[in-house]
Amino acid sequence: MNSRTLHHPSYSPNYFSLDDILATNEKLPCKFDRAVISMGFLDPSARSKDLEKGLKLELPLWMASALGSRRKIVSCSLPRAFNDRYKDILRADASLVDLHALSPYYYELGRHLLPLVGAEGATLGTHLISTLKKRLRGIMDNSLNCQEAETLSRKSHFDHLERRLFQTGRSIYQDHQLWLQRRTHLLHTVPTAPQQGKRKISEIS
Amino acid sequence: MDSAHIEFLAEKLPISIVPNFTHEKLYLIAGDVGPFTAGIPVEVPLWLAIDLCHRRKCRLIMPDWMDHEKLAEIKEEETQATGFTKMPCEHYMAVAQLLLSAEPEGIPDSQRVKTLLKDIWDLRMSKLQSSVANFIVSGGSYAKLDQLTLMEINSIRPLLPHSLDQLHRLARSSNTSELSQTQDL
Repeated sequence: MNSRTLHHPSYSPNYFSLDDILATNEKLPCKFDRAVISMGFLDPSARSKDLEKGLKLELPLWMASALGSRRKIVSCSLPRAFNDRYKDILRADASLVDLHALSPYYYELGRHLLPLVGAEGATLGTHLISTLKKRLRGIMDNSLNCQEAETLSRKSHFDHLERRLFQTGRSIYQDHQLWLQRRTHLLHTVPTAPQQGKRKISEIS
Repeated sequence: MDSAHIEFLAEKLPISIVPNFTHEKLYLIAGDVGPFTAGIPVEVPLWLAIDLCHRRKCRLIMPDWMDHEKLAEIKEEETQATGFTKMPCEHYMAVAQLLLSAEPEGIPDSQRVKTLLKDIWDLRMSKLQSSVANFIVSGGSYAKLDQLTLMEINSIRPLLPHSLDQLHRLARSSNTSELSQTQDL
């Protein structure tokens, strides 16, 4: 393991960030502000060819942000995970909430929602920061102290960004454990190498 | 940085040995070592001492802190203090690990020494974690690390900047969205 494998962030300014693509695929409730012609297929329950004005539909974030902010075709509201009730719960004790069940990409989604929701954006921004700050203690303690068998259950209530942080802490912890057992200098064969067998000269040339 | 890198750095620390052979001065890139005279203590880098010890060419003279009474004192001091106390050696974990594996019979009560070292490490790590958590919650911008050893800093190194990175991203995007709103008005 080298130092580069310990820290490999890949997030939203990066066009190819998989996390970002998945986060922008989360659905959020939208309301159409004007009728849209021949786009009825977006609403699976609709029978008409057109989308009517005032229709409420769940659209993925990437579509909502394209239609919402400048063209004013739809107006977005916050998904369930960001309503006041859940915000209050998170404000009371953020470290106990199962964020992954609430929204698997909580922070990323919140970050993308900021420009869409207008005046609520400022409070949402500070809310995201304070939530992460409160939960960091738990993430750090779990990743640097828990046993190998427990990792899955410990990180089950972390959202994706928190799992990344957990994994970062975990890798340095494992490196230290390996060093304590004097096993860092051992080299291992790749698991697939013995299965491949010998190569024949005819195959190489 | 891995723990193995830190061990490599720690191997440069000098340690006294009593060689059982005679040899002239060694001229190495990192500095001259020796001359070796049988029975006369001489100071060499740790890596050379460990190598000679494996070949039964010398006896290690343990640093004075590798002793269960000294370590118990340090542990007591660490428990009492709220901050971090100064460690006897900059690389105490790595040096102790190397010495304990090279010549466990040279240290009286080596099992107890091991336990004490582990206790001190755990104490300092839990202190470090709680101070890092405070640092993040209070939104501090700098921290003083002068009493921490390299191994301890390294154990938090990837996690802390990574979390601060994420916090910074959230803060930046909430700032820019605020800015764009004021521009709209």
